[in-house]
Amino acid sequence: MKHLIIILLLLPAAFAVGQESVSKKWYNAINVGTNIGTDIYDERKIGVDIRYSAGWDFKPALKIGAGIGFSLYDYQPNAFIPLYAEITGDFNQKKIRPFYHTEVGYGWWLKENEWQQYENKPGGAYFRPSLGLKFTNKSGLATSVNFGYQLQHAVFKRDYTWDDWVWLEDETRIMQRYSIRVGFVF
Amino acid sequence: MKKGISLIITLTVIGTIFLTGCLEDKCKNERTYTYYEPVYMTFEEIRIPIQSEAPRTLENPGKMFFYGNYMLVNEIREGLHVINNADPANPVIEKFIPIPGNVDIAAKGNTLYVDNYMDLLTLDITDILNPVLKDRDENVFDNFYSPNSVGVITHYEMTEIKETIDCNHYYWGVDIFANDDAGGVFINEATGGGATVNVGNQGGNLTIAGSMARFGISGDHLYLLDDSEMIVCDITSPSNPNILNSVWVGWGIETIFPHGDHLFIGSQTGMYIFDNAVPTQPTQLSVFEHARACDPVYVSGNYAYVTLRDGTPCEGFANQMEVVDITDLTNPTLLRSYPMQHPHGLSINEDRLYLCEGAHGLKVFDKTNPNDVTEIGKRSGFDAFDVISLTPERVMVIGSDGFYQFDTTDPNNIQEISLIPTR
Repeated sequence: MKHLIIILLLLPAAFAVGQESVSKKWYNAINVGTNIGTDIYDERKIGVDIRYSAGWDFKPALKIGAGIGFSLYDYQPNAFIPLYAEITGDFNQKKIRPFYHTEVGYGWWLKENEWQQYENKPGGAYFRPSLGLKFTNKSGLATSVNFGYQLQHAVFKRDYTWDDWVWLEDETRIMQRYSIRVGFVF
Repeated sequence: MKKGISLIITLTVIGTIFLTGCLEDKCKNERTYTYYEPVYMTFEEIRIPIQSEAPRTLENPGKMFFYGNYMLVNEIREGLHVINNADPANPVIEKFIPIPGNVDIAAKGNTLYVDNYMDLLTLDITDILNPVLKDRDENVFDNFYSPNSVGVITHYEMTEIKETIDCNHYYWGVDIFANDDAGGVFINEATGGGATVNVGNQGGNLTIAGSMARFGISGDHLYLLDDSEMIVCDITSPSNPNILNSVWVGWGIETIFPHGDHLFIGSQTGMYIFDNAVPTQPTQLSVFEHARACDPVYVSGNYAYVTLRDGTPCEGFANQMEVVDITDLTNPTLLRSYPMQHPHGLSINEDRLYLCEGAHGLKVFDKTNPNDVTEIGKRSGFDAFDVISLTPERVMVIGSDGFYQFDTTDPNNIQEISLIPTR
């Protein structure tokens, strides 16, 4: 898995160097999808992702932007608001274009129930590299589908200390899922 | 081409669903918590022969008991210091009587009643330096958990544990709130220090206990507070107490103050008043409820003085003294509350009220008008949790710093007569 991630990270840069066409325009993208994996109890979990991003299209192989979204992991802590930077680019200029896409940022955890009211760290790192296909039309609107790996790191504290009775917890959770999304780029 | 793309997408989706087992969430939990480690003692270690030995230094003093020219000071869960107090300016610890688990004391004449973890011991203290065990009533106090036939859990010791566990460990998400109640054992630390005033003049010896006692004597009956019940013992024959019955009072009862034909019982949630006209069968007349807090009770005339304090194990958030009008014992009513710092035991002598304020020392009040109890003096800089006032001018105070005797002739200038310090 580590090798796959490294390849996905390096691939866009290497590919971008080889591209010559320049587009220089703003882009917007909306994606919805699902994340699938198993929790610490080996139970299959299927979550939901929604993303909106915008950025600058330096050239077809290199677009850099920022985005915000919502992720539900179907596991405590289950809801996050990720804020991220993204880099994406197309591998060709044909009607159907393979592309790479990477999101790196921070996901803020939304408190999910009352018993965790003492948790006071808001979330953790967010990372999602992916590869996909983009289907373009003449109007400039493109639809896309991509497949990737999604990681949400969450570190938070619990402090139930009461008088001289101490109970402190530092908990680190890493949710790692396969991610499939469909979207629009305009 | 389109068929190829559809195939790729379809395979991706299907593959994702079937590959989910390759990606698994990870979770580590680093926790630091207070662990209450049970301390066991065998019956042989608990039921040792009772005989005095060389004096020890005070280390963790608990309740105190005035007995003629002697003071008995409890070393919590260890036994009794016998202090010769004939000269209050120079008290001398003469002996130590090892009694495992001892926290409470009561006396009738030359007979002393003490707890020995789950047992009640009756000691002849005609020669207080050489007490003689006259009777042992086994398993009177049933709040000690015995995991086997060999011994009991006597108390719990706090240790801090740091560990890292996987979140799917069976401990994760389980609140291991091990505390004094865990395992069915309840060691009430609130009783670890204190005094009720059960005043008597038994067999020629003036005896006075403090305001936080769990043992109380009224006439020929000894009343013992368990965690929720009052155990009634007939001590017509002092050296051979006859345990008669138990009366349910309520959870968290802590102190007992016999007063005339009535018993005033302080609990963590209120003050119970029992009619003791039939000593073998006390009946509850009323309960004066208050916020959850520790509360010694002292009764004087038509008023009961109740101190409430916060902190473990009392759980409360109140620090105050309440004056309760008990003219109608079936309907006690709050006359007035006075804010305090951290009140513990108290004592009254004539119009003076002495109040231990924990780490804030000792305060003296004029209670001539219960509706306007006025502070007239204090002495700070030491820890005080219980007090016995022999006269309005002389008090004895026990606290974690040691056993103090003060001259309170001038409440504005309380003079230390003597101190037996803790180690």
